[in-house]
Amino acid sequence: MPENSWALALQIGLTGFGMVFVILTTLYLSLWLIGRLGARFSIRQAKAGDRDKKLATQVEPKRAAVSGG
Amino acid sequence: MFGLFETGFSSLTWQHAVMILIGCVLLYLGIVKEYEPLLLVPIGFGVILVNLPMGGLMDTIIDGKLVESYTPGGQPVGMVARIFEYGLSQGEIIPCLIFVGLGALTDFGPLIANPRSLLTGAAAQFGVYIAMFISFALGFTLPEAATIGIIGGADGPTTIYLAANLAPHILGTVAVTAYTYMAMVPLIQPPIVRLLTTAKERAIYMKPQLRPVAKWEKIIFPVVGAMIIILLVPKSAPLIGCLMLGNLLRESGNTDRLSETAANALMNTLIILLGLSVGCFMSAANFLTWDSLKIFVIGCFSFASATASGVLIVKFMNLFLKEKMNPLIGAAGVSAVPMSARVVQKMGQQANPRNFLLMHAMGPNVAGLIGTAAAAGLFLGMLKF
Repeated sequence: MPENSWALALQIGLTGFGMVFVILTTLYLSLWLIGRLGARFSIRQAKAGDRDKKLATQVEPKRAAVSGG
Repeated sequence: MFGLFETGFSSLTWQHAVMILIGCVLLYLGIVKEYEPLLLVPIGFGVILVNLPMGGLMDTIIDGKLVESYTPGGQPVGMVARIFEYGLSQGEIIPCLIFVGLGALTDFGPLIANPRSLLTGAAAQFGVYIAMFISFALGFTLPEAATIGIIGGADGPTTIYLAANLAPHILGTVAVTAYTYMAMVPLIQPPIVRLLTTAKERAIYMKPQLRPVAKWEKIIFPVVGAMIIILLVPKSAPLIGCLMLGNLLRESGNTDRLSETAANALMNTLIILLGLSVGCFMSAANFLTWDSLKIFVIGCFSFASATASGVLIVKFMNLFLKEKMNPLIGAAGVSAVPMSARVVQKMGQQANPRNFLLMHAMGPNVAGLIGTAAAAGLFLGMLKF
């Protein structure tokens, strides 16, 4: 059992409250990072989607031409 | 021959009668007032059952003698005493498994969409530490003071988990205090919030739509969150690990059966076991003490200061923010999920009918849940050797 002194109580209180902030701030930063990555990832996906659409429109007439010939 | 002395009436005392009355009050609050009925009904009925003499539900053998109330360190003999011993006191299995269910029920989307709410959840833990200091000043030992302080986090399973580890002799009292005040959130929080905010602040408009959160973000959060928190506070592993496991089952999309079981069947079974065993812990001998009264008073103060600090940090953050937050959502930093978020929604609508604060309040609400579990882990790390 720990000794019951005010010094220890203060140490537990201050360190504990500080640590809760450290933990939740670290989580905050990681969530912020995930959000940033998410935004970049979705922009890249959207761009890739646009490129696929362009390619599809470019390829389709050629295919049609080949099959028609 | 069967006579009056073989009936419970022969052993009935005024202390039993008082406890039976308390059990009836809890039943009234749960059934008529609909305050946390899922918990207060089994707890209230447990209180009545254990205070009917000679029932033997919490019988424990200590030094070869049979004692009618549960006593830590003894050998449990009664039916509920065994559940209490292996599920709560020694094993701490029930609160941890309830966290799996809580995780399966929790949507971390609002928190991921607005990570700033994590700071609100952290600030609300101020109440925990204030209550700890007050308890210590009033003569409780440090482990007892930490256990009483955690009531302010407004998280029942965490309170029980910490009590079972640090101060099992006051487990019943702190559990009932925590659940009673959680049930009374709609009565405790509004006056404190009104005192600390102006009508103009309460009417601050927040856009109802948070940014959409992708599925993969929701899947990554429990994994990354568990790693960060457990690496920082290893003793929080049972609670945080179970919470994040439940959430991963919910969000992965491929484990619906497990998620549904955790959120419904498992959770409901555990609530019955938890409620009954906590109620049965409250025998007259364990509960009718001055310490119980002190714990009730400090618990209320702890709740109030947690609410106040949540509101105040939002007001402080508003000094630096372009798009102001409504300080009401700070009150949801106490984890009482989703009760305090509902209180915020109701107060927000009263102040400004255009406001829909529920989703904004869910962020601080689940942040409070994480913050309280982390605070409990910190207490364990510093006080349990």
